[in-house]
Amino acid sequence: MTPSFDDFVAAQVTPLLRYATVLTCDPYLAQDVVQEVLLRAQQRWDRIGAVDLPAAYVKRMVTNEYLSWRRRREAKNVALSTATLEHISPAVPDTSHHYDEREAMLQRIAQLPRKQRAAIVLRYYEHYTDSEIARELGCAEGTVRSHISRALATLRLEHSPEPAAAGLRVREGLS
Amino acid sequence: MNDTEQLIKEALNRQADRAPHPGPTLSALRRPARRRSRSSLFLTVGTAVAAAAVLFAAGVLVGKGPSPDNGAAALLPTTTPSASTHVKFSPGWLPDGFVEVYRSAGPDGIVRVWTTEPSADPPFATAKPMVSLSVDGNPEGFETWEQVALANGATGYVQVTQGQTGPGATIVWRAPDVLRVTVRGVPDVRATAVQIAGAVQPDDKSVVRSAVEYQGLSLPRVWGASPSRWTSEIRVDPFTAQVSTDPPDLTGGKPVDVRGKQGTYVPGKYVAVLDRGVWLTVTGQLTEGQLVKIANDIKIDPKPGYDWIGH
Repeated sequence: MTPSFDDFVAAQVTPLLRYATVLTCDPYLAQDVVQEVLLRAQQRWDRIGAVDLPAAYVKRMVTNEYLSWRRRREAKNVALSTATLEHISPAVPDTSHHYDEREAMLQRIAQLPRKQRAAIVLRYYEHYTDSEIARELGCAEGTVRSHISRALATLRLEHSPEPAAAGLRVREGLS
Repeated sequence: MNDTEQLIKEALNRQADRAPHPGPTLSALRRPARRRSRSSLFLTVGTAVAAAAVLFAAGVLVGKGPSPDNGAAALLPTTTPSASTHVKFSPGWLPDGFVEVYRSAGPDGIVRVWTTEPSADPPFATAKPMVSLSVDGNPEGFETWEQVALANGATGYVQVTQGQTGPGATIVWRAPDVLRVTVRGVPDVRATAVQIAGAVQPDDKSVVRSAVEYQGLSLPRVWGASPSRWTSEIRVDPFTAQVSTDPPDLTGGKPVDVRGKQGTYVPGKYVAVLDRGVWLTVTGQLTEGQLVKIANDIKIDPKPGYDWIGH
């Protein structure tokens, strides 16, 4: 039975916003992307609602929307937009001493090329396999492995120094 | 899974926790098509940014600068926020030691921030005590919070959350603008937030003024430690321009002619130049020539009069 669009949105809007926020590194952009995709899905719900996995289909629409999004965010913007997030969504409990390392890692992920970032998000946030990522991104499995390998190499290199600033200097020296 | 992979996973999960509330998205889906917009402020800013993007594409990427009398530029006077934006409200009371360090007007509404420990960096994302006052923020969903009567007679909605730096309290009310006060880093965040909210007053004098402007567009975002140490920023996709009293990191840079002076191009990062005693930095995923052209077209105000910083 085809779910109603309203039921679908009620169940999926939060997971989609979370996914888009991870993908875009920007909650405002995530909101724009999800809103745009859901508006399009609403208009075509007769067809989309009838596919086997509407949620997967719409998630792929979000991925495609992100990959084709014209607006580019510079890394410096990411730091600020992260900061303004507290006006949208209060901080959640976190007593881990890894906090700063995670923030630094987010900054580095935000600087990855788009397809590399998408592959990393699908692997480590969505826990997709190589073949699932390949389907999502519309590329070969070998390309997926290449994206992830390159991204991990970059993130490992930049993760090695303790302070975030030192990591940036390492990259500058290499470029 | 190795340490890096574990850290990636943790970082992505943290980012997911920052997803926006679904309320605005659900509201947009319910509205008739012609009325779909996030807010009047979003519409104004979005239109202005879109106009700037059109101008940018026409002027920078193609290399033909838009003139003020062409068709696209003619749209700007009605869609561009003014260089000065009234902040509209001020707190009538703050805890001892708090001074103002940040003002902005943009897609996230009008925001003002006070802290006890001013610095040259933006005041968010630190463990410092902080009070923020936002106008027309993201008001959806607060009706389920605890109701509280404010000293000004309004009904507020308050929520206390446990953040990574300790508890924080947020209180939202209508005046009739939707106002939001957030407090953290003080002994009783809830009581302090309620007291601040009850004393917020209309303010038709205070403004936030940008020290940087591109093609008539300036979405002011200003922060600093004192009236003599500040940064003013605008973001116009696909670039960010900052004017600051502090120099940027020029490591790895090479000389470049910009604004009739010798500036620095740091490959892959930005163009920077010292102009009339302040540093202009233009950042974006653009070529050196594009960044230089933008820097040349930007207007700066080296003395914007940020006397409110630190007070």
